[in-house]
Amino acid sequence: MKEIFDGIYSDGKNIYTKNLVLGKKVYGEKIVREGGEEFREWDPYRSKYGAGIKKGLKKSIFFNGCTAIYLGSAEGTTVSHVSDIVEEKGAIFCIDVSEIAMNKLTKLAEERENIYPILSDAQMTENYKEYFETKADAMFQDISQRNQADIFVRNSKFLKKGGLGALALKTKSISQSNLKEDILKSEINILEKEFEILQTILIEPYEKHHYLILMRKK
Amino acid sequence: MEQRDFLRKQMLKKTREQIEEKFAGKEIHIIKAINLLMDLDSINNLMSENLNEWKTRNPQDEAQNQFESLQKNTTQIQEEKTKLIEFIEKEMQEEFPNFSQIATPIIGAKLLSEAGSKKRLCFMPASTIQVLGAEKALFAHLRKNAKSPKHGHLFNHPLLQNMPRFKRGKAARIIAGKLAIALKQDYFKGKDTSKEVKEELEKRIVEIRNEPETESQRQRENDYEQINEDRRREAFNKEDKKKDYEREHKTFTPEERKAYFEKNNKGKPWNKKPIGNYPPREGSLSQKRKFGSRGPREFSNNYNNRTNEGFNSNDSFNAPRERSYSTRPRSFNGARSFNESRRFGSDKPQYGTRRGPRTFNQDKPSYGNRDSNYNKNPYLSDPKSEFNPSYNTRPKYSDRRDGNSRPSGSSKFKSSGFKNKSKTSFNKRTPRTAKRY
Repeated sequence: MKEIFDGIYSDGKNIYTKNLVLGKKVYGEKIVREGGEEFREWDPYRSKYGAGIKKGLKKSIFFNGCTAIYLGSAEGTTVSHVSDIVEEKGAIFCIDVSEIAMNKLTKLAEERENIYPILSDAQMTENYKEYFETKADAMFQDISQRNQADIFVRNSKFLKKGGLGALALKTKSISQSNLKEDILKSEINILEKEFEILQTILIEPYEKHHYLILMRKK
Repeated sequence: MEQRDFLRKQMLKKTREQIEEKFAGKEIHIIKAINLLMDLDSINNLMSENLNEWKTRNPQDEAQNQFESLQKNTTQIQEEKTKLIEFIEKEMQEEFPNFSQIATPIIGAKLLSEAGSKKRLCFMPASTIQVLGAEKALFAHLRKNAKSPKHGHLFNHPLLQNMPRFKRGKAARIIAGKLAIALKQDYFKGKDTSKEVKEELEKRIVEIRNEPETESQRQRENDYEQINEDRRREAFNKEDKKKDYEREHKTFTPEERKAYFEKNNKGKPWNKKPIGNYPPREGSLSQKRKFGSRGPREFSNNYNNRTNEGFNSNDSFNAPRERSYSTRPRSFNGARSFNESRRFGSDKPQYGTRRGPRTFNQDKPSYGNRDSNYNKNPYLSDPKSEFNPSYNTRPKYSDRRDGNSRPSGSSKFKSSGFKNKSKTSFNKRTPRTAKRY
C-alpha cells in the first residue's frame, strides 16, 4: 500500500483509508488487512471526492487534524472516509437539509467523535454561523441545486484565507439544454470573485455531466 | 478539547430534537397504513388469480400442499386488510374527528397521504382537496386543451355516487368546502360539530339531485351517451403517452439541435418561410394579373399557426412568399391610385420582384412610339422627365415583358410591325398581342 495523500492509500487499483473504528463497515464496503492495519475501500461510484482522486486531483483538501465543512453530507458515505483522514484531532461539520439522512448521520456520530451534525438549509448561513468563530481549513460541497455556486460563495466566509475548497458541479441541475462547457464557464465567473481556481476535472465514468473544481480562497 | 466535547454534545442534542419534531406526529402511521392497504389490494388480486387458475388443474399430492399454503396466505392477507381498516378508522377518529365523519375515514386517509402531513393538509384550500387524486387530468388541463377534473379521491364518496354526471361537480365543490372548514376545526382543536354539518350536507345534496335538468345539461348528456366516453379517453391518452414518451426519451445534443434548425433557416430571405400550415394558393387570372402569379396577399386564419415541429409542412410550396423588403406598390409614376400606377409599365419594379417589373396589362408604352397619342401622361411623354423610362433605359433582352425590348436581329419582332399597327389593335389584348414571358 502506497500513500498518495495524507491519509489516503492506494493499491494500484483502488483507494483505501485507515479505519478509525476497527471492524465496522459503514455502507457495505470491503475491509482489507495489511501489515497489522485495517483499511476500508473507497468506492468512487458512490463518492465524488473519491472519483476525483482517481481521476487525478493535484492536492487533497483534507489533512490530519484539520477542521472541515461538508455541505450536503446526506447519509455519511464520504463523511466516514473524511473522518478517517482527519482522525481524532480534527473536526467535520456536516450540514444537510433532510431529517431522514440526519437520522443516520447521528448514529454515525455516536461512533466517531469527529462528526458535528447540523440540520439546516445551506443557504441560510445565519442558522449556524455561531459555530464558526474560528474559521475552517477546508470546505467541500455536494449539493444538487440550481444555485450551487451561490451557496458555495455564501459559505466561503467561514473559510480561512488560503484555505482549500472543492465543489462538485452538477451541470444538469443548472440547465438541461446548454453545453456543459458553457455552464462551467458561467459558474467559474461567479466563483472567481472570492476563489482562485486550481483545477477542474470531469468525473466521466463514475458520474455523468459532473465536474470537480479545486480552488483556493484569495 | 473539553470545549469541543461539550459543543458536540449540544449539537447532537439539537439535531435530535429537530428530527423528533418532524417525526412526532401520529399521522405518519396512518399514511403508512393506507399505502400498505392499497398495495395489499393489488397483491390480493394477483394471488387469487393464481389460485383460481391453479384450482382448475387439480393439484394432487405435493402440488396440493403448495396449493393449500397459497390458500392460507391469501386468507391471511384478507384478514390483515380488515384489521388495517379498523386501525385506520380508529386513528382517524382520534386525530380528525370532524374530518373523518364528513369524509369517510378511508377517503380521508387517502387525502392525507397525498398531502404528506397534517399541517399541509389543513392549510390547503378547498379546491385542491376537491382534485387531489386526479393529478394527471389536472396537469393535462393546465398544460393542454383538456377539460378540468371535477373530483379526485372524492369520487368514491357515498354522497357523490348516486348523482348524475353533470351535477357531480357542484356536489364535489360543496363537500370540499365543508371539508376544508372541518380540517381547520381539527387542527386548532375546536368542537365536534360533525353531526349537524352532515345533516345539512345531505339536505343540500338531495336538493341538488331533485333540481330539474337545464337544457344545456340535457344536450350534453345526450352527446356523451352517443359518443363512447371511454373511447375518447383512450384516444386522448394514446396521443398523450406517445408525446410523453418521445419527450422523455428523445435526447438531442445541442449540436444536433443547431443543425436541425439551421437546415431549415438557411438561405436568403426569400427562401425563408415562417412556421405554419399555409393555405393553398388562391386567385383568379385577373387577380394574378394585378398582383402577381401568386394571388392576393390575403391570408387565412391558419397563417399564424406556428409550430415547433419545423419548417417541413406539406403545403409550404403553395404558400405566398414573404419577402424581407416591402412589396407595396410604389407610386413614383405620379399615380393617384394603385391601378393607375400599374397601368404604365416602368423600368423599376413596382411590386418588388427579382425578375423585374410586373406588367401584365395591355397598356404599355412603346419605346419606339414616342409620338403616339396613346401616351397622354405628361410625365411619360416628356422625354426629359425622370419618369420616362424610354429616356433612361436601354432595352434589355431580359426585360421581355415590355413590348419592344426585343433583340434587333430577329425578324418576327421588328419594330416596324408595331409601328404600322393601329391604335385599337395595339390597345386590345388578344392572344397575338399578349406576350408570354
